[in-house]
Amino acid sequence: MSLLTLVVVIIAGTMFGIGAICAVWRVIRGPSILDRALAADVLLAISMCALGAEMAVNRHTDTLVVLLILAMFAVLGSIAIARFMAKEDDS
Amino acid sequence: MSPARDISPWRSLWRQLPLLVLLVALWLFLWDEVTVMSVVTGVLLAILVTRVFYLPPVLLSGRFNPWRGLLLGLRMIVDVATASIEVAFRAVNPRYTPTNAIIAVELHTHSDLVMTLTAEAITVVPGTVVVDVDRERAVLYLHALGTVTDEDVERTRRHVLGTEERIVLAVGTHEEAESVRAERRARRMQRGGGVHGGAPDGLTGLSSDEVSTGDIRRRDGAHRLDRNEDSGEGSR
Amino acid sequence: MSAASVALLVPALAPAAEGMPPLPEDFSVRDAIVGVLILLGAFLSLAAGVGIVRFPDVLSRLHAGTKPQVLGLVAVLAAILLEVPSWGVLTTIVLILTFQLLTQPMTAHMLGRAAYRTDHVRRDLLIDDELADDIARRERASAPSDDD
Repeated sequence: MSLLTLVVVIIAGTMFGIGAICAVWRVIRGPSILDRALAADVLLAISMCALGAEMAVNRHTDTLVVLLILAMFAVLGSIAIARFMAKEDDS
Repeated sequence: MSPARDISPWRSLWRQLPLLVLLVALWLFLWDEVTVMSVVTGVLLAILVTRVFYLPPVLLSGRFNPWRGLLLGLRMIVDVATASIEVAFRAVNPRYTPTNAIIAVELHTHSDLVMTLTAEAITVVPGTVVVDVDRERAVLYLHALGTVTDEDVERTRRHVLGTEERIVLAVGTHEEAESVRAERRARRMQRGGGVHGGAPDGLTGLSSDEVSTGDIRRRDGAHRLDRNEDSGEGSR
Repeated sequence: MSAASVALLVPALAPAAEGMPPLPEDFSVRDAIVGVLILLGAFLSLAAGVGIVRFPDVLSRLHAGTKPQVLGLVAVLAAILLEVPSWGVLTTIVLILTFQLLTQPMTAHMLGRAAYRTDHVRRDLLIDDELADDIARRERASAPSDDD
């Protein structure tokens, strides 16, 4: 691993980490369940980006299928929560 | 609409052909290889899926302009990229506090296909989310981030209408496309002919004499088309 | 790839490379591009995280949270494609992006709709709410009772 790649890995890892911690904070704090659903979605998206970055750095494609499955089905959770909310309290 | 009601099996197959082709393409992409086996299983599965999980067929207009489609795609890529960066910088800029607006945009075409595609295209671009839809009047209610003045609201509205025009020119029916073209010609005449080829593809400039364009076009019902498809299966 | 071949590949660098200290031996343009793409993806992820913490109501957070990452994912997937160029990877990446672009607006729309309908909107942040106007107008038209 070259020095350049090392620097990129450290900076990008820090950014991914801060983003993920922010998302977790919002999951914990979120005033409404919609905030939590949204923050969980963001956490998932950050994980997808991080998985992809790891593949690019280490030059393999082992977890590309994981990204595919997540892109296909990650939407279901948020939609379920949104539907549930819309029915729950319509006041 | 009426001649399509009594459809023969061949017509229905022809109508579902785009969907079948897409499903087979999806299957081949998943397998990462084109062999006899994968193509045959893909076709069989596509037919099985469209028979078992029957959906009312999407009423495609039967018209597709590849050049306009390409322009639409390129414009979408540029829009998504610039807006993503913009929203990201707003998010990390500590002095930024958001002011938003919920804007009602009345579309010119009432077809479900164009309305759905426009709503999708608007929502893909960061900074705007379609919050609600009035299907009867073809009104999209969108929530826009970072609108400070009425000028921003008007600009967002123009952007939505421009996106609709591009979509209509790419995949709308002949009548819709013709009316959009007529409207564009009228607008260009109105502008005075000074900047003929200047703003390509509905990219409205921001000069002050155009601020009211959105208003004029909202009130102007002359070019509005009737609902040309009323399939009645939508659940909005 | 050596420093000399970098200078050949990037003509603009060639005159500057004369006076500059030589680049490290294992420097490659491809790695640099991949690094930039990864950093772009990481920055957009960071912005999404910071945005959902900073912004004051659900609808604002929705903008920061759901959509910049699509561009981040595009950047990261492009980096993968640069490092492992093959048809199998390309088709899978096209599928991932297609599904992401199809499903992300659905998430945003459903969450936004639920947020508006359950009144998780900070009215003081809106400079204009034409949906509420239309709803009020319709209610006045249908039932002239007390609205608001």
